[in-house]
Amino acid sequence: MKSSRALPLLVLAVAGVFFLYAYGVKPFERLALEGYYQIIVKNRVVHKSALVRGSGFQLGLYRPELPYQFSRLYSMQDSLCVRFSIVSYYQAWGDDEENAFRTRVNRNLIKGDFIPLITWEPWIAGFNGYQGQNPEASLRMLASGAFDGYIREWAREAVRFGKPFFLRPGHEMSNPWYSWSRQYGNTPEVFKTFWQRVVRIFHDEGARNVAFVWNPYTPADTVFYPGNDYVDWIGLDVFNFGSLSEEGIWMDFYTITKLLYDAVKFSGKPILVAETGCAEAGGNKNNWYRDMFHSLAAGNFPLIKALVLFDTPLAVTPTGISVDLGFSGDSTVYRAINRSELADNLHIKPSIKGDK
Amino acid sequence: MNGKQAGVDTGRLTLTVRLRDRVILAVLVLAAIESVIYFGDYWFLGGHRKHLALFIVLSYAVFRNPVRSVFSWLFFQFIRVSSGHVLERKVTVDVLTTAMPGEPYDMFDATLRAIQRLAYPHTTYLLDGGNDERLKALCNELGAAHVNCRGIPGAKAGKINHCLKNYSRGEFLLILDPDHVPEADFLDRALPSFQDEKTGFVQVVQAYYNERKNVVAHGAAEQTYGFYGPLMMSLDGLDMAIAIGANCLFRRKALDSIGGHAVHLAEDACTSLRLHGEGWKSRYVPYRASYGLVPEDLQTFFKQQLKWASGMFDLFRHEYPKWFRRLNFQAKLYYFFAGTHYLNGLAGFISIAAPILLLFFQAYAIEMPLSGFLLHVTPYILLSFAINMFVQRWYTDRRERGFPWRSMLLEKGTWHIYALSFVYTLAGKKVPYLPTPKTGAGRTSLALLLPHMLAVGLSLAAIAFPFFSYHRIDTGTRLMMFFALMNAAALTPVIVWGLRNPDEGRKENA
Repeated sequence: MKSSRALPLLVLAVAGVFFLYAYGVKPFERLALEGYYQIIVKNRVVHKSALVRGSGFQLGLYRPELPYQFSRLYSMQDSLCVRFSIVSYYQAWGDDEENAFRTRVNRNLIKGDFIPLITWEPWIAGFNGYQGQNPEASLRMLASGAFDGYIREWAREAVRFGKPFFLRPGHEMSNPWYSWSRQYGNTPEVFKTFWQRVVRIFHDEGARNVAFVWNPYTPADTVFYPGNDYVDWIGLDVFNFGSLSEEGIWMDFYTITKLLYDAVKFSGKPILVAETGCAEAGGNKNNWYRDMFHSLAAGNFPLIKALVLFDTPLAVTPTGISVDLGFSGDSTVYRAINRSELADNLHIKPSIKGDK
Repeated sequence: MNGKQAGVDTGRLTLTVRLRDRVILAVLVLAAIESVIYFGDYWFLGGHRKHLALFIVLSYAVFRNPVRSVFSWLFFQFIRVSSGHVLERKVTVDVLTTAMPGEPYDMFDATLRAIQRLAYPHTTYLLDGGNDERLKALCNELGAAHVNCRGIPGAKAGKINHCLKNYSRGEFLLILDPDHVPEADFLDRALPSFQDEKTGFVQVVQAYYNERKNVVAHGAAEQTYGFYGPLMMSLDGLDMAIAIGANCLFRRKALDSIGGHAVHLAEDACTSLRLHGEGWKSRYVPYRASYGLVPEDLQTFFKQQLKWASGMFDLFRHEYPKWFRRLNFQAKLYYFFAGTHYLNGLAGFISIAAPILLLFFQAYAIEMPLSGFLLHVTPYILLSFAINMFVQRWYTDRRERGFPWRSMLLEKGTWHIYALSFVYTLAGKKVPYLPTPKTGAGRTSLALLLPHMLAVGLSLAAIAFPFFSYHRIDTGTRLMMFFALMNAAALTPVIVWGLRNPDEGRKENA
């Protein structure tokens, strides 16, 4: 073989080999991965029904440093003598890495025996081409399927993760802060279409581990309810801002919850208080928390199976006033709470000292 | 390349290359090449790179073998088993073998008697570097010519050239290593391949009678099975079989055209390079015409490998560029392939040192999940294994077939020797020519095992280190821990072999 003849032949052969790779091997890999996903990954998923734990009541926590720093959570456990089993964090929609499913974070939570409660906020502004804009009726775009790719990829990662967790998309759908709210021109019909589309995509991808938490802002928000087939849990946000509230009145946990509870109990779904907190102004915060647990233990709200403390000094009232909703900021709160009641009557898992 | 060929008897079995074999081999090779690209795609384009320089170094160690495999698979496409030629006229043949002072007398007694039993008419020359009286007497008794080569420089090749110039007049020369006992029909089998006037030399199989003595001998022999089997047959298909020094028949005219046998550390490879450069063809006859000795202990094996590696490096540095323009395309490719073989010491060093250093210094060359690595490397490993198993049908003895784990471990465990010879070459330092002592010299000196012990110890320490001092063990770390574990596991058996007396664990002889 002469070099002059061999070289073009060789170039041709090499090109052929790479061509075969690009059009023969690589597509097959995608096919194989898809098969692996459909046959193996989907079937490894643990069903969300595991989130309902009999008569046990689950306590959860939101803190600004969670889910990355746990020392405050552990010291609160020690003070309350019960275990937190839910850790709540917030995640916006979008194209960046921070908007993707946080597999590592969620795995770490599971390792620590915590169930993630992910509040999944459909901000359109997080997507390329929409930076800084929150268009009117943004849910219409989401409902039309324009961002299905993002939803599907997120759902698949959730399936690969495989463990049950709470997912709370588009919460407080009449809170004017949010671009998915009624104030941005999103009608109940559009909201329901959007919600059902998201749930269907998760269902298609086999995300049986994802418990969808539908979370109203006011008792009137039941018009946004997408139907029992599309909801697993109902979430409630229960805040007492005391004299800082619009009405300027101190309301106890029972009163606020009763209104919401009665509005949503028709569904028969288990209820999760996804956010709860109390301000200092206008009353006794310690007693508020004491009465909250007492009211739950007394069986006033049998459908409420879990409660997440919104423990942050950096909260804001609906009218924009900074407020300290810290639960753990003052050690006297622990003394006010009847701790034996939590474990004995409410059946929250007791903590062992130094349980981490 | 034609599909149908008559079978060739190797002395142990009959070899054929059928069309079906070629098709299966071609499909396997194509799939295997795709698997290398698949692995490369994941490694290089999967977005796993963390540190460019470290990544390049690590990539060299990881991809050296896959890329070289591709070359050897491509050579396999030209496989041919030679036979069926008839040499029409009578020719004159001289058989040359060399003696060095200190080599056992009994060996020469056996070898010379066997040479005299060769059926084809020939003249025998013993090139005696010691001018030994007993050997002289032996030659007299057997009717062989004794040539006094005392003080002739240039080791074996020097003696051969001395004999060529002053004594031997045969048209063809058979050069035999003194430890090789030839079969009586050696010449009758090999000479017909000279029918083509352009054929410069003919090589036959080099087989060993002590290969089952212990695991080191077995491993050292195993390293040659593929070479004397499918690879040489493939080179034969390209008319460029390689001379191995022992059991090689030369056309005198060819040797004269390059000024005699090359005097070089890798004299055999150098001679073939020059002959191919001069335009001579060469042939390989897969006949087990003689049985010799293979190193039985690590010390001897290391010495032999040091000599070969240094010889090939020197050849690649000095002879290859000189002859490059005169070699045809496939010879250019093959000698490049052969000349860079012993860079495996560098790759071995990197693959052992990199995980240790990266783990201890918490440096990251690559961030890749171990599962992803295994998933993407597995097709390559399975297919190269399949090809290796498939081409074993062209091994010259059924007993040579099987998974070559001994030779793989042995090659891994010779990294320091190959690296040493690479350093010698870089420093321009000459490695002295040592005749390879072929009988068991005893236990291997600890100095030669120390690098392995150090490597195993450090690898294990490096695996343990992250558990105590890392904040978090991530995917890149796990991959390196896996590499370190593999290294420790691969080097440990070689240490054990080195510490063991080579005469223990004796197996039944061939």
